[in-house]
Amino acid sequence: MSSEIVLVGYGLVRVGEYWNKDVVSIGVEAAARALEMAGNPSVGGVYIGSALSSTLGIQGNVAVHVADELGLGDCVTETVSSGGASSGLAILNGIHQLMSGEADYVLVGGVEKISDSLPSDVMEAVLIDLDRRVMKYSGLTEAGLAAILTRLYIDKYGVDKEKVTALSVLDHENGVYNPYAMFRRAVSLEMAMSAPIVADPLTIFDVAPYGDGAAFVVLTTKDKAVEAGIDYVELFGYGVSRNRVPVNYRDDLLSFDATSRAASVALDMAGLDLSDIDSLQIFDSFSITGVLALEGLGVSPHGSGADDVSSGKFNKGNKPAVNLMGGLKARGNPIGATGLYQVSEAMMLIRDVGVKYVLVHMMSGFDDNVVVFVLGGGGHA
Amino acid sequence: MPEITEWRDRIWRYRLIGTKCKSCGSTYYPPRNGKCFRCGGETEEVELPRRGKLLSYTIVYQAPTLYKHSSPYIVGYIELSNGTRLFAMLTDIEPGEVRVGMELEATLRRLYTYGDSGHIVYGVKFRPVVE
Repeated sequence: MSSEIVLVGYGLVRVGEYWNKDVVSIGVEAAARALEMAGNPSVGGVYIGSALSSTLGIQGNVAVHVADELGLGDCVTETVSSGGASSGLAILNGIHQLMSGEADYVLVGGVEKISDSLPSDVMEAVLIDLDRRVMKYSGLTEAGLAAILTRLYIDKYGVDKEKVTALSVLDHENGVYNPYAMFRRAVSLEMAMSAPIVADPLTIFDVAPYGDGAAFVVLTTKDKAVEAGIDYVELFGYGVSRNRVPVNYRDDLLSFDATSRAASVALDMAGLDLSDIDSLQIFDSFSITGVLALEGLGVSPHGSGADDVSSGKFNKGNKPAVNLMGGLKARGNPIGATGLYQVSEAMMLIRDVGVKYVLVHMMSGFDDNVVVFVLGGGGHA
Repeated sequence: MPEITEWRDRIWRYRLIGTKCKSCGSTYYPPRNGKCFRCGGETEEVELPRRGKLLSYTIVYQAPTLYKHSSPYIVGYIELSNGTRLFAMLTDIEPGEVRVGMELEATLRRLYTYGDSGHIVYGVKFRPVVE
């Protein structure tokens, strides 16, 4: 990258259900923490990802509202919406403003308020980010589509469904250590397999739970961070790619090509190989999408992702370790905010646990719009 | 949700109309304007074959609001006889009878009804072929 972009603060609320707070309040709470950790700099832009705030009629234009309630001065405020890629695109907007030289600091975040709406209405709203016509006229839900992918995967590779669900068990095992996770308890494979069915063959344990959430980070350049004397984590590279939508236009539903391309661009920019990455934060909105993401990223060959997960290849202590903070299944999936939880968790892993390189993968839908970041290094002023 | 979208989509939804590339012959459903995404060729609307086979399926238990009345229901991933792939609900079949590879045919059915207006939305579902 032409200027060196660094992350200097993060702020989160635990993913869950906030009955007595609205989307702006939880956003302000998380944003204020991120700004405080960054030393309360003056920001030139506020970019907030939110997939559903407008669709569900909760609050439009959230970036304007959060910036105003934070008491910020004049700056660019922009709300970004692209399903699970919303956070990633908000970060990119922030990077671009820093690289243009227009701002020294930017605040980027993601907010989502799920609990204000009925589950069946949320289910309908998330379909809007996929292909409206394909989903609505077939009765297919997001989980239904994941279920079809799971059955295709099982049939094509002769893999037991247990091995796909093993990723959810891994998430729960790791999520125990994440103070911001929605669910902080381990589950057994038996429990996951015998839970109520959402869309056959998926049980509730194959589906990451939606939750309310807000996560923010402050970005600046390395020079500014050093000048200000604040701790930072470096953003070495990023990549963006799209796959064909609607998904039934694709030749192979099981190949996450956009994930492959985005990761390869991000790694090239970072000057790293996949084998350098110590930890992966993958967007496992469903157990199967996590498995296909691992294969798309290239850490498992096609057809081997589920085998590799279930054999423990990606457990804590291994390289790469996957979803060390619990992934979407245990941390929860506040859709448009999820990517910023992943990035904030990457900062924690790098700062507090000493992980060297983390690759963060986020996407809308099923590999529809993918953003990948490579983070690491960092320093103390 | 705006019901005008259902009305606008009615013709291709009733008649199973897709898009065909005039150069490479690729077909896709639902139809869309613009160039062929495979070869960049000009495209036209065509009626698709109404027979196909089941590639995969799911049984949806947690349904969105408009389909709550139908749950649980089966959604198939179907390949038509000319190779076009689409998703559609299966009908005239019980979950235990569904088999990957089975022959299916299109039939016009009621999809859902809007409660306030009473607007009934029809579309194509697929049923087993009885020889």
